[in-house]
Amino acid sequence: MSKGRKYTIVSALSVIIAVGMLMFAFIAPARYIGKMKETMGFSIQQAKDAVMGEDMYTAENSIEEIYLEFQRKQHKLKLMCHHDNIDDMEKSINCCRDLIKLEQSDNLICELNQLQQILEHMESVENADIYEVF
Amino acid sequence: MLILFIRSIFLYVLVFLVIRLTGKRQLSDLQPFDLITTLLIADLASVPASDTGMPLAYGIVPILTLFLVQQGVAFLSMKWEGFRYVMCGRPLLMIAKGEVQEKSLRDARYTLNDLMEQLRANGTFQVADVEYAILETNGDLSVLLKGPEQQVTYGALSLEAPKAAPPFMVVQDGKVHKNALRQAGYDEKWLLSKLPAAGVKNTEQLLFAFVSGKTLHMQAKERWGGKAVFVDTGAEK
Repeated sequence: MSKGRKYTIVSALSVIIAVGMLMFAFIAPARYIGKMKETMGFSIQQAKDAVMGEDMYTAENSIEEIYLEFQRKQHKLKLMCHHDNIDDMEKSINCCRDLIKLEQSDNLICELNQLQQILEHMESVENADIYEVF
Repeated sequence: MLILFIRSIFLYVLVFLVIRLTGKRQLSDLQPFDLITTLLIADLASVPASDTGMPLAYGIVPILTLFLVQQGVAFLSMKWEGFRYVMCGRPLLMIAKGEVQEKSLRDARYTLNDLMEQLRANGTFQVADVEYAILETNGDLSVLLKGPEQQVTYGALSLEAPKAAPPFMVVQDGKVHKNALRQAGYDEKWLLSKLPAAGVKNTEQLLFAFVSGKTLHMQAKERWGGKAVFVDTGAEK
């Protein structure tokens, strides 16, 4: 096989590999974050409802669920999200855990809202949105 | 710090592979779309290399995207002439039959000074000597001199031209290049038989050896006398 032909084959293979990697990069992170937002979003909403109903025990359980979910996923998240967002998320979750222990319902609602916003921002970065593009 | 080190090496390998796969062209020969890709890739790689808060994927995805776009543009340029003209432009006739083409100068945003500079770089100091000058798509100026100013060739004088053959570097810093030696039509045994002329006993004592046509040009290393000799190889291979 001539060198030129080998080069063409290598070039074509590299294009196929690059397309494959890009397809993976477009699909996998968006699905991963989407799923995480779904489960965490549910727990956040549950915690908010429990705080409103002054059921601090359920709220604490929900926040612990959020914390454990984050602990499980934070390493993978670092591969696909800006680390500043993950740090913000960690801070917010820890803050929620402290506030529930101090039983500061008003501040806890604000912090849970912030956590929800961080999650929404992380998801929007992975989705093709005209506002995110520009 | 170790993370920065590893990330930089990873991105270097990636950028190297991408640049290598986009083609072996000199920076000065790059077409506009090649230049854009090369500059952007270099810039894109530098950000995630230094910012550890940014996932490497933020560098890899745009680099791979540019690589694919570049390959796509190169492919379409090969297949469709119209697309090639849009992407690379057309060569412009700057001087035709000895006359400077003002329209082409305007089209290329060239001043007379630019044209003269390019002509001088080509070894021509007078516009009057030029029959045709073409501004190529990569920015080079190709010059065809008027008949009387052109170099005389063997063909024009009806003389027998020597056989054109590139010089083969058969020894470099004491190491024999076996492929080059074979391409020149000789073997190591032949090379060893010619070494005494340079005052050396083995090829390791040579700084270099070239075979060019009928001549073997050798130079011994300084510590072995540094003698340079030209040996007639006898028959031209």
